[in-house]
Amino acid sequence: MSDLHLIAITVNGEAHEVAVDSRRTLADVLRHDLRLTGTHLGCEHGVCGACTVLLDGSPVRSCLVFGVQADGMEVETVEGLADDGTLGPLQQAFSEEGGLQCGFCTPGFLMLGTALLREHPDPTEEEIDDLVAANLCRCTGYAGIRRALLKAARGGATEGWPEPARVEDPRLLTGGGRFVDDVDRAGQLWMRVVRADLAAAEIVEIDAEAARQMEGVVAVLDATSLPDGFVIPIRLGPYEGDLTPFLQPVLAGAEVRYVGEPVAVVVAEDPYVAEDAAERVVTRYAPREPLLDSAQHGAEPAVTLRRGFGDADAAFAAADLVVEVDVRVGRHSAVPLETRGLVADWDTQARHLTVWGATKVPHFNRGALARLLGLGAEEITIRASDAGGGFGVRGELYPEDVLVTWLAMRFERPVKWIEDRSEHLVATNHSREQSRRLEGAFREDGSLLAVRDRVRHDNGAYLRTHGLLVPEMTLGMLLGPYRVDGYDGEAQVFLTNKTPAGTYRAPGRYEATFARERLLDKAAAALGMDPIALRRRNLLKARELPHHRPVPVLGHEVVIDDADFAGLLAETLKESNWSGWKKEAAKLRGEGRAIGVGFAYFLEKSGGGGFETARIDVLADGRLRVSSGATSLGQGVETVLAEVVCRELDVARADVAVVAGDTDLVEAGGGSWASRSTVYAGSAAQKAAQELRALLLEVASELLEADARDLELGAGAVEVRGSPSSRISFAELAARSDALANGRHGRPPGLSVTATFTDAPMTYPYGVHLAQVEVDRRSGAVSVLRYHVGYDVGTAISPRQVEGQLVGGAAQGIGGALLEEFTYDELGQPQSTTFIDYLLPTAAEVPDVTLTLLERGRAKGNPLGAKGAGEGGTTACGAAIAAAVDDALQRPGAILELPITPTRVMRLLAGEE
Amino acid sequence: MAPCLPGASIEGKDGDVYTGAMRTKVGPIVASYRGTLKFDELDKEKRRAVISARAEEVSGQGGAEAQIVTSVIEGEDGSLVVIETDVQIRGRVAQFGRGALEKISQKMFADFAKNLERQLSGESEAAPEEAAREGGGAREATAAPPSPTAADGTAEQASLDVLGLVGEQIGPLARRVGAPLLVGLVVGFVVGRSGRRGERGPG
Amino acid sequence: MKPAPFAYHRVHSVEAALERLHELGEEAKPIAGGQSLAPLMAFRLARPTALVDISRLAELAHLARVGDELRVGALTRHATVESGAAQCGEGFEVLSRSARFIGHGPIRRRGTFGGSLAHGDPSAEWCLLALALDAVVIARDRAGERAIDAGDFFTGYFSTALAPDELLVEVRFPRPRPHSSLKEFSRRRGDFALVGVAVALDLDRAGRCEDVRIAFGGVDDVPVRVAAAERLLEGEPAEADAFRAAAELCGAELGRGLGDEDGRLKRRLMVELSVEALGEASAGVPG
Ligand SMILES: Cc1cc2nc3c(=O)[nH]c(=O)nc-3n(C[C@H](O)[C@H](O)[C@H](O)COP(=O)(O)OP(=O)(O)OC[C@H]3O[C@@H](n4cnc5c(N)ncnc54)[C@H](O)[C@@H]3O)c2cc1C
Ligand code: FES
Ligand code: FES
Repeated sequence: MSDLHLIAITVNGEAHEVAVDSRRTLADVLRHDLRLTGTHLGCEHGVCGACTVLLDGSPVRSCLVFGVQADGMEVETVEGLADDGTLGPLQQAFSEEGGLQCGFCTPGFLMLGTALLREHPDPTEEEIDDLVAANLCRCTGYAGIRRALLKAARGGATEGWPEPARVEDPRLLTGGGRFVDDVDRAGQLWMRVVRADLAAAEIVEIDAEAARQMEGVVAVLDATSLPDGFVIPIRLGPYEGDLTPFLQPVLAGAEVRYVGEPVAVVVAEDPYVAEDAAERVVTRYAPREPLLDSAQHGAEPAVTLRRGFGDADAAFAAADLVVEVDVRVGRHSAVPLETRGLVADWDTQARHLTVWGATKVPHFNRGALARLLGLGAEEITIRASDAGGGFGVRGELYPEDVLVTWLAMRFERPVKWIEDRSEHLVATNHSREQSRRLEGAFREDGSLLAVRDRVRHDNGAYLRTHGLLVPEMTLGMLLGPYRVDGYDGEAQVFLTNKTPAGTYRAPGRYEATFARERLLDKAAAALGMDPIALRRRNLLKARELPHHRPVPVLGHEVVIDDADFAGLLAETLKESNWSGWKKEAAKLRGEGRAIGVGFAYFLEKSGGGGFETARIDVLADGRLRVSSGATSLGQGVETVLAEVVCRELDVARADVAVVAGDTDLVEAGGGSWASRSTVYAGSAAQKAAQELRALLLEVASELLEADARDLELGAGAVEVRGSPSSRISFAELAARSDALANGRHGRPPGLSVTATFTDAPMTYPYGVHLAQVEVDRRSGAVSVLRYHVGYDVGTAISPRQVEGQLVGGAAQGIGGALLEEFTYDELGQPQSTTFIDYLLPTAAEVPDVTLTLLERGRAKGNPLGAKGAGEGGTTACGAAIAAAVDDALQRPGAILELPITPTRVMRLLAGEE
Repeated sequence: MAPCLPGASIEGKDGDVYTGAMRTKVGPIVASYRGTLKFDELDKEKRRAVISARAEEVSGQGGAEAQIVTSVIEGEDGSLVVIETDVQIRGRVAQFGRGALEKISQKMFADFAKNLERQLSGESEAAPEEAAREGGGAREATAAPPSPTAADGTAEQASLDVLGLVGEQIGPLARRVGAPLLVGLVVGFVVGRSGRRGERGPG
Repeated sequence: MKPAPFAYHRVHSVEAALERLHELGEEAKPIAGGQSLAPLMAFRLARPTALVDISRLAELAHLARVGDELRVGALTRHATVESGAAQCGEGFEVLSRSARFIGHGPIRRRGTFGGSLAHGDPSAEWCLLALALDAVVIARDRAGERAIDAGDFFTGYFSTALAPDELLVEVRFPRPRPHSSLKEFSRRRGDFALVGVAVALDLDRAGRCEDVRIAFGGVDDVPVRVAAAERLLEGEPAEADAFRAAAELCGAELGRGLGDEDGRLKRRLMVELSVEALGEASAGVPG
């Protein structure tokens, strides 16, 4: 049934007449009917604000307005902000101030800002704060957005700024990004997944007849239609024993194991119809008792991992003091602002499958899809696209990826799937849920002798691509930056009837850091020691490095190569004015407020995954195109690669284009995960640039008839040193490197090099988090007043971006510490399926995060000396905030569970009355 | 024998299995179910019944399974009717609004069970007032009984009157309809001495 | 997350809206700002078969003082109330001050006063204030208008005394209440309150409380007043001790049904928020 209306709307000054079905949202009309894809959809239920446009000058959430309601009205979108491709002052300010990373939320903020500045050209700080708190951003931690608005409001934006701060910025600031939902293919079908609504049940029958009969429905398929062996493979070890019983089928066959598990798919001509039809698919179940808590009676672990070294038992026997903590970290996850999605197009004649939207590990996904679909890897191209944040969960191979591609081949038409927000919250990897008993053996002077570690890791219903990685990593990284001679670790991995879990920013380490730092705080209290002094005593010293720890992490044993743990601590405490924070808190406590400070040390890891490839082509116009296996997830990898190449070849940034994660351009690649992009892709790009330099010189020396040693590179050309008139531009070099010319010299045609950088050992960045918080005794609510991160990155290729990563990471860590949690009712029905219930922090909940950045422990394993910086902003948030809450309440060791919700604090305070 | 599920209608019977539809409404939120209902046990003498029901949402992914046991403990000056319901609701309704819909559903099932019991016992008086507000007896709330003009909607009234079995005025119960959801709710209430069986339509 | 199909009707007068609603039957719904209805439709929890778009009925977008009475048209946007302290006039400052608790800027610019009441969310600011300030809701159907006391208006979760073919056209606040206040707690900025309280009182010459109203949101499926606590304060000096005693009574009265962990939090909030609100109200309009 459709109810069509012809509407007239003016968009960015241009009049349009569109026939719309009355239920089509204004957002969909703009995006899909008018192809103005700069307006983004992050939730479709009014919370995130990514879809904000101006309607007759007033900002509205275009997902809450039906297109037909805008009839006769004027709409302004992000596409209308740039004047002839020149960024406006607000856009410019966003670029300069780090107001965007992935850029998915950016159009919404720009529209809000535009309306505000139009109505109040000189807004108050409070008005700006209100504005920033109105929309959600998952990347920036809001500080950059706030700075950008202030700058634009106060007229501070640089006029005619020579170039945007990041290569990615211009397109993302003008609505020109290409996110997966921006890809529409002619004749495409839409897939909708029918999901289990019971946590544990046998499937008795799936009745899809009514759905099949609906107009516009092409097919409804369940597991019986799929080829055998359609299961999601594990991407990363360890592989302990036979894990096949724990793998997720692409569609559930005999049974379902969590609410949200795919049981069938609908393929239809239109996404609205697909959703109508999916509702009509009736699945009859025979319910079973769900297992929802690993502590539930009779729960058995699926796998038990044991890791350790030294003689922990002996150390415990000899210890002066044994301290133990029982801690728990709640289930939360990355929840990027853009949901997942995929478009697949199968060219029957060419036998070629093209896929958009699989941004993270495209080469792995290509290989896995090839195996499942019975294709050669060369028959699949995964195209690069923008992504609205990844943080670990996006771009892994999920059931939907297999379905979309398989359906495209089966129906010989392009197939598109865009996850909606409620689906995302039950379908995309969860993370973090762990309970842990940690025991430490201490000497009287505070030395930590040994640790016993018992983890109950709740992985949800299946092992997906990350396999046992998180539980292994949480053991491997538990000891952090401390010297410990004996470790006895065990992780029991439970499969429960909840959404499967995988990695999320600082996987395993967020949990481990929380447990370990809580243990050390408790030990300090027990020994009557200052908690910082206790850390100092146990931190590894420079002369003890490299420090080898025989526990594996991502296939390598831990080797901490270079670090100045004590130095960073000292510097951070000084720069943050920690003693001032402490004094202030004590003073305010004296006045009756519950304010406290907390501190936590962490060790991170970055890199891993063996290799990365980079390719540089000199294009016909002399510009360079850099392609890499790393992918663009908002972390600014394009800028990093451009920076490295510009530096190496002395070209202007405008002359370098970066394509991240296109499997046609680079044959093999590792992808973007584990804070590895800079380390691996950056190093590969540097290597490629060096090889290209040699090639350019070689060709130029032939053409200029000069010795290569007398040549130099400059401004996109090669010239004879000291005689600038004999020069030859890159464009000309490219033109004269055609097949014929190159053939004569035994070179392949074109000016192109591909370099692979292999086997950088893992690097171990480290840092310190400091928090000052206030507990509201009326409500139990915790607010973070100040937050400071001290971090050693080795070498910062792009310091602005490192800052952005750390500040944004801290906002996520704070969210996980205070607000975010996936909860379930007694039957396993998820209770956090909307942005109303899963609480992403707004700007009002995130403080300004300050930083101390050191470039001290230069990583030895890669030529850039870089350590990743993707995760260190997040790792210790739970630990530092917990310590601060303890201090605020003056109850050492009180906080043992994350998130620290008002209900939980109230429970603590109840004992106080 | 058919139960009195608010908003329900019986569409057919196959052996001792009834098929029917049910519509629940909380303000703008509407859920329609279709399903089956079966008396696993029915002892009119002892006023004990065990009923199992299962339903799927007609449009919308979700559904419900329920088991309801009613029994009576005879006492000095009345009988205590004990109704145990074990309902599993799934889908959107069970996931929305931090349990808000769940609470409404608890009331609805309590109402259902009470109606059912009344039917079994032949009780023809209106339900005791406390039934309208679970646990609210002790406080004064100004949220008054609904105004008569509002939704004396025939639909709700009619839908309660399943198979004409429940002819009497049930008052505020009728509007406390909602989507069902609860686990192991036990409702106990005193209904006074059991009366004669009413003369009310086919049983 | 796309809404189920519906037919759309835009109307240009209240009469036309009422005709349409009547003719389309029970499954049709008016849509005003859409800030509550559209999300419910996106989740497909609400699936009206038809929408009657009243958002352009300028005749319902008024905000005016008539003698003692403040009349708020159903289509007056939250943002208009927020910035409309002058139009509201003395004694109604609590409305403008409380508007900022409703969602965020863009939501306040689109959402309407009448829509909020008609939606009947038990923790909505306007619903609480309507109850605390003894507002009267004016509803109209084809036959004419009727007045419904706020106390009779909310009948259940998201449910009101409005008939399907009736429109809320205006909300009337009978008299200025300079001594009133709204306090609430939500875990995240802009969210619906976990617990909210609106209070209003008068002070006699001796500074004693009269005509006290205390209304809570978020603790039941409708906003509720606590008559016992109101009575307790009647004639008492407007002082901290009396406020706390009344607040404790509220917590005890309403908290009973809440039980468990969240109940503990809510009880505590009821007490603390009402102490604050009573204090603020007795101090009168700030500044
Ligand atoms: C992210 C977000 C946060 C929010 N936070 C808050 C908050 O903190 N506090 C709060 O109070 N609200 C909040 N809201 C809701 C907002 O205030 C809504 O505007 C309001 O609840 C409904 O008003 P509306 O005009 O948008 O109504 P609509 O959504 O158009 O309608 C709501 C309901 O009322 C009916 N209706 C509307 N107008 C009339 C009328 N004149 N006569 C009869 N029936 C009518 C409709 O049929 C519908 O059932 C929030 C909304 C969002 C999206
Ligand atoms: S608010 Fe519209 S998409 Fe999130
Ligand atoms: S930049 Fe805001 S969500 Fe990514």
